[in-house]
Amino acid sequence: MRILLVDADPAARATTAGQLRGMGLDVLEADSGEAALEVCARERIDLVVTELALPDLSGYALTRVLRHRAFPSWQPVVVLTETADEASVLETFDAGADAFIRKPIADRSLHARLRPIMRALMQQQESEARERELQKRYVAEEEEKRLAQHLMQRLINVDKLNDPALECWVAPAQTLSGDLVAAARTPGGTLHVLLADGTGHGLAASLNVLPITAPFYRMTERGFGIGAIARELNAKLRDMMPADHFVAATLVAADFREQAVSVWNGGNPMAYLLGPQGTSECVFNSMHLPLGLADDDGFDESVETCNMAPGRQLVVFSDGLVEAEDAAGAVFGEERLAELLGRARPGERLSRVKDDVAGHLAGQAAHDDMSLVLVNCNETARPQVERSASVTTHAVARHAGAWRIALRLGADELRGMDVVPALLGLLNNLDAARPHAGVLFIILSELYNNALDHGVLGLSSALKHEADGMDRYLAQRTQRLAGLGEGSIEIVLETEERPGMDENTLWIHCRDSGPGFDYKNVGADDGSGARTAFGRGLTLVRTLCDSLEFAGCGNEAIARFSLGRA
Amino acid sequence: METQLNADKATAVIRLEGRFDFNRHREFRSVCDQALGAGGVREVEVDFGKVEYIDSSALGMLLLLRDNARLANKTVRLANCSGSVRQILDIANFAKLFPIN
Repeated sequence: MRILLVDADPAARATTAGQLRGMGLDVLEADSGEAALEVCARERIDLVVTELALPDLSGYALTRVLRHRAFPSWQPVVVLTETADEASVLETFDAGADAFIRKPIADRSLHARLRPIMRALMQQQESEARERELQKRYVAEEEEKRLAQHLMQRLINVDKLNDPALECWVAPAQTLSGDLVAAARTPGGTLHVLLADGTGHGLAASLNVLPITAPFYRMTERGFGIGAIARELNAKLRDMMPADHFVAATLVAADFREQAVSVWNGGNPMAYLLGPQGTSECVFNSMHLPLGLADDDGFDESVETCNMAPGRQLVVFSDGLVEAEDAAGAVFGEERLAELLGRARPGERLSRVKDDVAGHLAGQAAHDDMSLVLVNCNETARPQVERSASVTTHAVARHAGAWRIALRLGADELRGMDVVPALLGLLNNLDAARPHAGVLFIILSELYNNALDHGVLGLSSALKHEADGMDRYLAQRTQRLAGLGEGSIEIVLETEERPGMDENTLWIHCRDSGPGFDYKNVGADDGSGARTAFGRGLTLVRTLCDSLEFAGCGNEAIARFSLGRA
Repeated sequence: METQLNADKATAVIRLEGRFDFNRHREFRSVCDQALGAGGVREVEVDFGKVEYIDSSALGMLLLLRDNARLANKTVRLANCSGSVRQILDIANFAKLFPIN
């Protein structure tokens, strides 16, 4: 403890200084008010002990100045004087001093009088130290958040959110969002959307969703379905996050060619499909546990599917939106959201919701992150599928040569394997095939699905085109696939360099174990209800390939595809 | 928040009240430890009868209880869940993890 003793009289000062030093205190001395102020400005002084009568300022004035300068901190000042009248005492305390002590005073009494002040002073110093520590931590935390935000921006491909079929709004409760919206297209042009809501908010919540961005993009790029992606995200989160952390997620696959939308919803409010007049055509409730909780055996990757004709809009949102509270604590609510969306025209829906929520909150801070995503089925949404007119291969064009891969998939593989992404992965090893990845994905998908659905499982496409046929079709497909005992599909991919031409050709053979169809009489009406016309898929394949032919009893499809110049 | 033992001493009942959110974290933890620590107890029942509000951190706390209960060879059930509490549990499909009534 360092004391400043202010007394104009050298003898008196020496006596008091001696008393104070005897208490183990460090004592500095000043003989006038100005000198005292100068010392206080220069040194750290814990307590000022002053006489009232000073040559320049009065003790009262000195007290006032010291207190004023220290504000908002507390500079203890004690008056130690011979003067004893009541008026002096009162004025001392009016000036803001903390004690009035009469001289002469015995050592022990002086010590006793000063002790409480010193104790209070120490408490103040500890409190100030804690506050400085808190301030340091706050600054460090803001820095961490800044870094996490930077990472988040990098991990979320924000430009993919500019997809023409998509409108979205994410309003984090704090700087960092625990809600994540990500979107990407499969090689076939299907739009995948992920809306994820991690437990908590701020940094902790955004850390929950970081591990799932990369697998979402990677698997979509490779053509995996959203069920398989959900399984992978679940496994990742289970591995990495503590037991009480999970991520509510909605995964959407919007296939604008097939005009169908599939949804996997684990833990988010229901998503719904709005018709052009704003009526709800389809509802996708949360059927699954949020991601990160189920173990792999118990994981359910089943999705719900609905037809999505042009003019429809899929609405997906996180609970922060409907639970936003106004000043009175009333929530925004699902009914209000549904009513608002139903009333507004499709192009205006997003902005109307934003405005309405802002109005509801009326300046209050939202306490949870809010997200809203609208997927529009319209002309601009459809992927442009076309052969690349001129394909420039690399300067070092590798000879495709005689490259051949043959696969035979039995019932187990057909049930459990993601065949098309695997095939595409294999093909991507071929330099010459890589520029055509998108188109080849569509060709392989259509041929494989055709072989599986119609050849092996015996499903009829007619069902797909009925009102809620898509859902029933897929239900039937799931059922038959699960119960599949026997059946196989053989796929051969091989390249050929035609003699005399410096072009690489890719041959795709796909043979299923089914009964085939009367391919020679395609278009004829055989009256039995069997396939007599190519479905949309095979017709598309025809336009994308150089040729599509059938062999055997119609259970073998052979497609020829030019990879460009060798 | 308090924990009581049922008459047959085999079930420990944790009665929650009011808002069950992140602020009740420590309290809940200590009450759970108590319930799981009682020898002879085979099941922990969490009674939501008087709960007005739960959020996702409450779900997290239940998950921790479930994990700890498994380690202690005990089961967990959720009782008297209705209204908004039931709604939150349903959306999260927690019936797949806990018996709920």
